[in-house]
Amino acid sequence: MARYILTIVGLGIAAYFYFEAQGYPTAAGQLPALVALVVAGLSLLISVEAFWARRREAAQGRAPVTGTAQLPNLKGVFRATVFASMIVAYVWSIEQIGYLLATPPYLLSSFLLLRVLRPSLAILVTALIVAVVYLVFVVLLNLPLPLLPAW
Amino acid sequence: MDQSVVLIGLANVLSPMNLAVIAGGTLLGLFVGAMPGLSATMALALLLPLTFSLDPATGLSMLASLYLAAMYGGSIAAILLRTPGTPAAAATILDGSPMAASGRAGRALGISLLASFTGGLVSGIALLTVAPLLGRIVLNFGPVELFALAVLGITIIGSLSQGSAIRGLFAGTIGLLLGTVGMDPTTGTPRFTFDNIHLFSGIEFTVALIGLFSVPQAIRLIETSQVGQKLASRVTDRMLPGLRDTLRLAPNMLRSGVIGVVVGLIPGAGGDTASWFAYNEARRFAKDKSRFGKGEPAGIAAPEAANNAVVGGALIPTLALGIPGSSSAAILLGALMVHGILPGPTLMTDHGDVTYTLIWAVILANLALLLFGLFFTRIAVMVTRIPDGVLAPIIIVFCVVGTFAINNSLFDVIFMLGFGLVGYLLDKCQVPLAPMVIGLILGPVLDTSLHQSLLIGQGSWGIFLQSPIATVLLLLAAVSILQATPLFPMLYRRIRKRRNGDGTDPTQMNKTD
Repeated sequence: MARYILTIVGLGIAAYFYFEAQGYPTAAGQLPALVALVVAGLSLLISVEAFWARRREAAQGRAPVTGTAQLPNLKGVFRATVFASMIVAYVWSIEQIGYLLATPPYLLSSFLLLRVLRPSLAILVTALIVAVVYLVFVVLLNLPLPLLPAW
Repeated sequence: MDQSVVLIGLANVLSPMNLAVIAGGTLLGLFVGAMPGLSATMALALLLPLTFSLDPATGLSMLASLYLAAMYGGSIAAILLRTPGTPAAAATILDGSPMAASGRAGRALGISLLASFTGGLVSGIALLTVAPLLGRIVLNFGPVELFALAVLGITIIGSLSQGSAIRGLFAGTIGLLLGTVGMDPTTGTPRFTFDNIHLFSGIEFTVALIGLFSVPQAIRLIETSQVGQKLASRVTDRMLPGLRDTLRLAPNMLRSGVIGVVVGLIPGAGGDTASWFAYNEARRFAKDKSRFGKGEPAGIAAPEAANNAVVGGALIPTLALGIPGSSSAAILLGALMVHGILPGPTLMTDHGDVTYTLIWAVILANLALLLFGLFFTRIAVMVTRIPDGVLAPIIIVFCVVGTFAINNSLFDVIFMLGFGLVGYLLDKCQVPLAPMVIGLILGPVLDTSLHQSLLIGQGSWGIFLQSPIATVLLLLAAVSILQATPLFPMLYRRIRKRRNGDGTDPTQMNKTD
C-alpha cells in the first residue's frame, strides 16, 4: 500500500513541477520539466514493481512482504509518533520561548515519557546538554540563538 | 601533479591547530562509531555547522578524521555487542563476535584497528595519487561533458543504491527537482519558491542533509529502542596483535584495502558493500574456509580494512569530479561549498591548498586512529552502553542548533524538520535517502551545464552526441540504468545457458550471500 501512495505523491510532485515550469522562460523551465517527466515515469514504475512483486510472491505461495501484510511493531510506531510530535512541538516552542526555556522541558519529557532514565538522572543529563550546547554554540561560536522569549 | 600545492597541503595539515582538530575528530569519530544506531554520515552532518567558524582546511581535516575513526568505531559495537555500530561494520560481526565470546575481545579489536589503519592508509595513498590524475583529465571537460558526468553520477548513485534501483533513481530525481528550486542561474527567474523570500536562494543542501540523515535516525532509535542495559563483552586480553599475526594478515588487509578503494570509487556503493565483498574474497583466498564465522581473525581484518579504504576511494570522484562517492563524501563536499569552494574540475587547481590539506588529513588521521584506538578503545566500550532513548532527544537538540547555525535562521530549522519527517516516511517506504541529497547537489550543476551546452549547440540536443567523452558517459549512464532492469539478468542467464549448453541456470547455484 505504501508504494502505491508513494506513486500518487510522486505523480503529484511531478505534476506541480511540470505545470509550474511551463510558465517560466524556456531556459528556466527546461530542466525542471524534463526531470518532472522522469519522476512521473519512475513513480509509475514503483507501483508496477510493487504489483509484480506481489504477484510473484502469490504465485510462489508466499505471504506478500510488501504493502500492509507486514506486521508493524505497533509499540515502536506509537513511540516514534509520540517522539516525532515532541520534536515538532520543540521546534515550534523554540520560536516562541527561546532555546533556554524550550530545551529543558523537551529533553526531560522525552527521557521521562519514553522511560529511559530515572528522574534524577534525567534532570542531570538535561542540565548537562543544555549547558554544553550553550557553551559551545553561544559562548564559543557566538551563535545568535534566540535564548529567551522576544516579548 | 603540482609539487608546491602538495607540500602546502602537508604543511597546512601539520600546523598545531590542524593536528589538534584531527585528534579531536578522531576521538569523536571513535565514540560516535561505537554507538550502535549512530552512523558516520549523521555525525558528520551534525558536526558540519561547527566547522563553519573554522578555516576550510581545518574544518575539513576535522570532518575527515571523524569519518575515518567512525568506520573503525563501528567495529567496537559489532565485536562486543553483536550489533554493528555503523552499517559498514555488519560483516565484522561474523567473526568478531565469536572471538569476543571466547574471551579474545581485545585481540579482535586490535586486529580491527590494525586493519582499519592499513585500509585507510592504502586509500589515502590512492587518493593522493589518483585524484590529481583524474582531476587533470577532467580539466579538459566543458559544459557538455560536465552535463553528461552529472547525469552519469545520478544514474549510478540511483541504480546502485540499496534495495530497488527504481526507488533509488526516484529519490535521485526528486533531489534534482528540489535542486532547481530558487533563482534560475541564467535568467534570474524565481522558480517554485511560493513567493517565499527564504527559498529564492534555493534549498540549502546542508539543511536537507542534517534533516535527512539525523532526524529519521533519531526517530528510528526511539522506535526500536528497548528498556534495559545493553550487554557488552568484556575486554580482558591485550589488543595489539603480535608480529606473526600482523604479517600473516598483511596480504589480506592490503587486498581488502584495494577492494575498498575500488568500491569507494563507484558512487553509491558504500562501506557495507566493500566490507562484504572483501569478506567473501578473504574466505575465497583462505586455506581453511571452515574457520570463517567461528572467530577467524582474517574475517575481521578483511571487512575492516575495506570499509576504511572506502573513505579515500569515495573522496576520489568527490574531489576530482565534484560527484560525491557516498553520502559522507557529500557532506565533505558540502563543507567545501559552505566555504565558497565550488566542487568540480577546478577544485584540484584553484583550491589545491585546501584540497591537498584534506588529502593529507585523511592520511594523517590514520596515524591518529592507530594511536587513539590503542588508548581509547577500552573507554569507547562504555559509550556502547548508552541507551538509544537517551541519544535520540540529544541528537535532535544538536540538529536544531546546528541547522540554526547555518544561516542564523529559524526557517531553516523548520525546513530541516520537514526534510527529517519526510525522510523518515521515505525510509519506511524503503526509498534510499543518499541519492536525494546527491541529486540536490547535482541539480544546479546539471541546470547550468545544460543551459550552457544548449547555447553552444544553438538549441540542438545533438550537441551531447558530438562530444565523444559526453557520448561515452551518457552511454554508461544508460547502461547503469539498464543493468538495474530485469533485462540484464535475463540476457545474462540466456548467454550462460547457451554457453553451458545443459539448460541449467548457473545463477541459481552457489549463492554465497
